[in-house]
Amino acid sequence: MNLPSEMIDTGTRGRADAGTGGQGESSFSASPRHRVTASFAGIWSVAKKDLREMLNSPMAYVLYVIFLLVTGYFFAQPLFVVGQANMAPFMDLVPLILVFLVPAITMRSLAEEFKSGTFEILTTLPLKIHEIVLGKYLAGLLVVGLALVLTGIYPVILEFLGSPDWGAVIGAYIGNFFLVSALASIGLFASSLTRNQVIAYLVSWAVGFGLFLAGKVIVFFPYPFADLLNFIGFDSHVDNISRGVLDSRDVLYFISLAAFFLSLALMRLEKKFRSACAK
Amino acid sequence: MIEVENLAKYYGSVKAVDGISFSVGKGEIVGVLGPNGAGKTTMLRVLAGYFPQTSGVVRILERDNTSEGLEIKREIGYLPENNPIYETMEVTEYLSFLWDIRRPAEPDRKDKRLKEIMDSCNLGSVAGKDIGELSKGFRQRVGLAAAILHDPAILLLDEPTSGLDPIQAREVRELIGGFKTQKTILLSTHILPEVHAICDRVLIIHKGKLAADKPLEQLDTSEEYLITAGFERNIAGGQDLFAAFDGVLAVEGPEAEPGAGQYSWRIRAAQDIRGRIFECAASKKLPLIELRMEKKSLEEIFHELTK
Repeated sequence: MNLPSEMIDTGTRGRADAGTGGQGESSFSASPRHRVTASFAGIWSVAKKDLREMLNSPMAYVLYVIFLLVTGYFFAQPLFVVGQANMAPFMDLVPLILVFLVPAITMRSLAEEFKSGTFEILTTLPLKIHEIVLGKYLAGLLVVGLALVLTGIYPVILEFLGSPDWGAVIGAYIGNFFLVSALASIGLFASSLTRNQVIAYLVSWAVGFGLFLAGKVIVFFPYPFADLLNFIGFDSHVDNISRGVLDSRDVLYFISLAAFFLSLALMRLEKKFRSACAK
Repeated sequence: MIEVENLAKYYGSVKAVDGISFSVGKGEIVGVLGPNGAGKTTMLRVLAGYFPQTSGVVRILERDNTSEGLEIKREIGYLPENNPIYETMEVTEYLSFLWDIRRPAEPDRKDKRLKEIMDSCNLGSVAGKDIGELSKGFRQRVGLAAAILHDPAILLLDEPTSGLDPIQAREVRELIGGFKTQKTILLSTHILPEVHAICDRVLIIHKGKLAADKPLEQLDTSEEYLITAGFERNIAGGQDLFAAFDGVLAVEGPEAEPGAGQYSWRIRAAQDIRGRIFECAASKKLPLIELRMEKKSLEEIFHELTK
């Protein structure tokens, strides 16, 4: 699963080479001078535009409210009912909620651009295709990241009422952030497949939920499969990190997952416009 | 500025653009005409770098689009068909976003240029509004402002006035006409008067092929004159009278216009015989009340070329 971590790079290099070779590459080929190097300015411009668009529309705020309501309930319930200053029930639930939330934020990313035709504006600007993909990814990451940051109020409240285990709390947040980075790339890829946001949501939800579930159902499988599922699923990796164990294998797992789906999105866009069934 | 050789673009097995060659010099305004589905938009999209051509060579500003696409995009202003635009962004936000990408090295010129462009496109009154809330005329002006923001040498405009009311369309045309001689403009349209109003030259595209590439005034290549002569009353033997002139190819008429009291003959001739018709009418005391030569309209030429 971790093989494609370099795919973004090799992908672009291949494209630039092919571009000098002849026909059919104009749209996204980089000139020799600009080969591979994605300028952060380009990425940030695209990200800023997406952020503005998302924050100018009510969608993000509705999602924040829903997210805070649901997580707030699971935070407050043990606090008031059981009388425990404990983040664990909340933290256990966050990955599942993220599986539902992240696709809702990333679904419009490319699908809406295809639908409204604005993708034509983006691709005819002096931007490289991976700047567009990474910019959109960054924007999604920031918007979801903000949702996570907003829940930071909960452990702060706990600090007043008791003494939360800050190591576990911070570990859990780091774990969830890695999870978000993978989910956002899945969402972006799903959004690159279609001009229909609902389909984009369902595809990325299905992939995310499948990976979420994979870690939950290992008890039903015999030995080699159980281990494999355990590796593929989110669970074991999130668990490790949220226990405060930052194992490079888990970090690599999420980074590879993100890189894999980002490369798929990149390839998808290139193919879409090379074969040019764009209309 | 723009050189296109044997450009072809296939969508699967459909040939949208099929072997088009032309070149556009500095400061020219060239109209791209053609029926819907002729390949105008596809061609402009290739030039703008939206997607690559299937085959053929495109050189813009002496750069090949397969190897230096990004550099070309920096120097082009492009208004896509139907003017897609980010509706949830404010006008200034949108233009500022474009400036950051197009001229990242000159952030200090941004404010001045944004103000300039808002003034010249009359956008001052809607600067802080969401683009989605604007009327179609304003949206179109935002699209144009976006295309010319970075002062590109080349403008590609895909149906810049489609869907506008006549007054808005005229405003947009005046805006485009204002760039005459400063910029090289390729403009697709199917509004023929627009071509007359601003273009120096036309490319007529039909079924993916170039049907004509001529300066506007040379477009009518037929060697025929179409003359209409109207008289107050019917003239006995008019048919033979006109047919006897030198160079007359055919005579039709008379056509009586009900109530107008006019009988008109339509004469096709190899030369302009209006003078002789007048002399003849004067000597025979025939009540000539109308005498005119028709030029083939662009519409007719267009129709003939795209038959």
